[in-house]
Amino acid sequence: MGARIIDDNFLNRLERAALYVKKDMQGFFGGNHQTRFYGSTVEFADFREYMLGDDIRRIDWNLFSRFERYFIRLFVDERQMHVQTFLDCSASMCKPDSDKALYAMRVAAAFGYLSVLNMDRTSIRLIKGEVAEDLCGTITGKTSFFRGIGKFDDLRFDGTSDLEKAIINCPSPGSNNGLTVIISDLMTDSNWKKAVDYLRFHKRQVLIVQVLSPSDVNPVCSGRVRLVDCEADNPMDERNFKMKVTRAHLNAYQEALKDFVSDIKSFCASRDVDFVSVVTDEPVEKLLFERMNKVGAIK
Amino acid sequence: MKLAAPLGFLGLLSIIGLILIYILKPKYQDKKVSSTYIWKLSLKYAKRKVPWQWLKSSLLFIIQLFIFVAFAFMLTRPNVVLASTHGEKIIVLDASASMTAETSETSPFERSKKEIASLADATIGSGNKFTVIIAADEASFAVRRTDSAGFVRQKLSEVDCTLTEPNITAAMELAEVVLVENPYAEVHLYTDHDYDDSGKVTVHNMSKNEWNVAILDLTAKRVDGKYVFTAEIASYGQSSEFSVGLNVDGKAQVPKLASCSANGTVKVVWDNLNVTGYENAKVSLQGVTDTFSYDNDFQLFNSNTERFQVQLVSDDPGFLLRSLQAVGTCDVIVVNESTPAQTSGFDLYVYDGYLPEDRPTDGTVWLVNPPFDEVEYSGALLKDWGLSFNSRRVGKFNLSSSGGTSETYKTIMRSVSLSNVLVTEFSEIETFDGYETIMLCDGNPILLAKNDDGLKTVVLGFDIHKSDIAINPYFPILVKNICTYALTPTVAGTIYTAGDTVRINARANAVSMTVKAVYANGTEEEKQISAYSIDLESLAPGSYTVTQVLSSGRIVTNNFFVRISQGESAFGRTEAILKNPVVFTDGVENTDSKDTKEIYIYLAAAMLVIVCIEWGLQYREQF
Repeated sequence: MGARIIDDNFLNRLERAALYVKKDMQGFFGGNHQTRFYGSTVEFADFREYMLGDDIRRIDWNLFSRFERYFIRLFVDERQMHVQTFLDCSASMCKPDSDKALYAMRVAAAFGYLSVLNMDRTSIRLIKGEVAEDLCGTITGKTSFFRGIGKFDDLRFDGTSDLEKAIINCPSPGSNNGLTVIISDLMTDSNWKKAVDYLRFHKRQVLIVQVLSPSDVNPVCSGRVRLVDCEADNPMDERNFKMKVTRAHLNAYQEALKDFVSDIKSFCASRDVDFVSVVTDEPVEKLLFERMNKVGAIK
Repeated sequence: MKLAAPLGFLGLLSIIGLILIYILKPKYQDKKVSSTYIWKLSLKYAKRKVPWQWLKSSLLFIIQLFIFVAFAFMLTRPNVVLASTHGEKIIVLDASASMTAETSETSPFERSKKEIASLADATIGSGNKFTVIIAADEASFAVRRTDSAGFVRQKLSEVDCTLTEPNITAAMELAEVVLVENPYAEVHLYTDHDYDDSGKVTVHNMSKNEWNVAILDLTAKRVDGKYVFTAEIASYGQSSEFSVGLNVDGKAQVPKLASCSANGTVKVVWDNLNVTGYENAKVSLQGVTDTFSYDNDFQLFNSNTERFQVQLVSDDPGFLLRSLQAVGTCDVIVVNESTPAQTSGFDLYVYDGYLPEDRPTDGTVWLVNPPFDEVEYSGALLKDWGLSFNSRRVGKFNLSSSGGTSETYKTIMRSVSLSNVLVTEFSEIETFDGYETIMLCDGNPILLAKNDDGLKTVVLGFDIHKSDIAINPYFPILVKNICTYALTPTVAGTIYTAGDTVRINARANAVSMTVKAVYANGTEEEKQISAYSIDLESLAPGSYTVTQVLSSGRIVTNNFFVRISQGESAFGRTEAILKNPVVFTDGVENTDSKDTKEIYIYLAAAMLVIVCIEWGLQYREQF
């Protein structure tokens, strides 16, 4: 694993954290997440009147002696979740500087580590074009995790990404069994909201992490410029355009960005989706241990 | 609004340059961004935010356009026509000599300045403009249409009176310049006398008890071999009795008593003096306490005293000698083979049939019939004189004038007729660089003249003994004319009027020349002159002595007297008509105001503001 993505100190801090997954998830057997369903753990949950077919070994005889009626004991159920991370690998995440890509990989790695730490399954899917490539399959256990994220070193961010098609066409999006994390700058014409709706339809818990670079937040340019989109294939691409950048334009940019983020927030709120927008000059630790804590994604 | 230079609008063509600059401006610089998604959104925001966005985005260009338009407008020199006012004053201040007459109080000139200053306060205080024109020998503006009374006072304090006659006409013409701008301006003349008809001009006679006894003229007339001196004396302002003294060549004569009625004249005559010749006669008023002293003395210098030294080199000087002596101002020394010729110390060198080995450097040279063949005359070369002869022609030839128009030609040929003058032999002159042809013989130049920075040369190309010119009555006149050309008098006259310009001509052989002036108020001034010819301008009253030391060591002096104008002596006079300043437009007296005020200063200020705004916008866009 490249030290540039994740280091031991960072992992040590992650050891003390855990992913929060909502209790209405069903998940898989053998996990560490308590659900609202009753299972066969040793942790007592409730009593219920005996019904035909129940295991008579679970009848509480003390209660029978008191009430002369049959009650059985219920126990908390613990499940294994599947944390699926969609990482936007378009050129906009890497150019003109690689801060966003590095930051996004660190966040993805952190979520993956938190998953395996809590005995969950995790998978990382790289969105390239209209496809969500599986980076290293479904991972359980730290060993597999470290082997999996080692592939980050060879990861290339280029081309475009269509979040909508990539997520919808994903062969195993999961259903009511865990958390989906989408890491992207969301600066795309693709209708990624449809993809979120799709995930919600499948009862996935969704967390969107928008990664922006300082130059995205405060662009530094003036005068007559030809803005070249990093994802543009050729100079004549319609995404490129000329403009005379004035202070008024910079103010309009700020306002547009503010409204853009605000729109994402309101959308996410309406779909019960967690959303965090982060600038890469903010430490990852702060994002994970403060802001994720606030939105309830990590506890 | 009027445009003084409408062609200035051609400056609008510079807008083409501005547009070209915008077209040819550097290309857009590439700026790589992670995504243009937000930028495209921002465009909608910018457009949505300002409905007049197009105006805002083009504001810089519009402002630059304004700058160019303002610049072109400035080039047209726009001006606005101001309303004429009746309160404006044009003051003409007489700064002539008579205004300096001082009583126990002050002079009319000082009183005038004081009154003008007060008038300026009142005029400018009521919002009108004020002009002061000084009428001396020339007219000039002291202040022109000013709004500042302090400036008027300052300029008035700098103005001094002159000792010349006032040029009131020129001053009124200057007033017309102001009247063109405001035809309703009032014209006031501050002087020391009255006019019968002053027209629209308000005349302020500032004289007050001034009176003057003046020597108007002094003449010397020879009667029975002796000189009779007559002084004409006038008394202005009051009658008076006085004593008149005469000094001839430093010797005081018996003074005469005279009385003169107010504004009358009297002639004082000295007819019993035993004076057969004089160089300087001076008349002075004695015991007179008038208010003007410049005309209380008068000097007369004999005009025939300047003598010229002439060396005549000739084997047969008869005709030439007598003609030169007939000129009257020449002291001729004849030199021939037995007597060595001098090459310095003379004003005129006449070589008859000879050619000097060295050219005299201190006087005019007259070559009469110079040797034809250089071989004949060893040592001297004709080419050194810029001459060469072609051949000697023998026959019967007539002289004729070249018909020139130059001053040299007019001087030499004045009153000379060449008809019927016969020449039997002459030298045909081939080259004569720098010489002007005065006379021809059979179509060939025969009399030539050249002035080389004061060193004059006259060449006569035939022997006067082989011609009947010597017995022609015009020959002495021709010789006199040549002497007039060759021997320029140091000073042309002996009496001048204050303010005149006198030309002083140094003699060619003068080593040094000084001009000493003894002014009427007793002060003296001496001036060294190094130029060959100089003009002494704006002379003050007094006697002047020009002293030249010639190369021979001889000292030559010339004198002249500068008097006050008779008109300036005539105190309390009343002149007939005062020229009024009137401005006509197409034959009709102008009443249209042309009082304009140029507004390009305001345009420049506005342009400066626009430039500042443009700079601010540029700064705001860039940073």
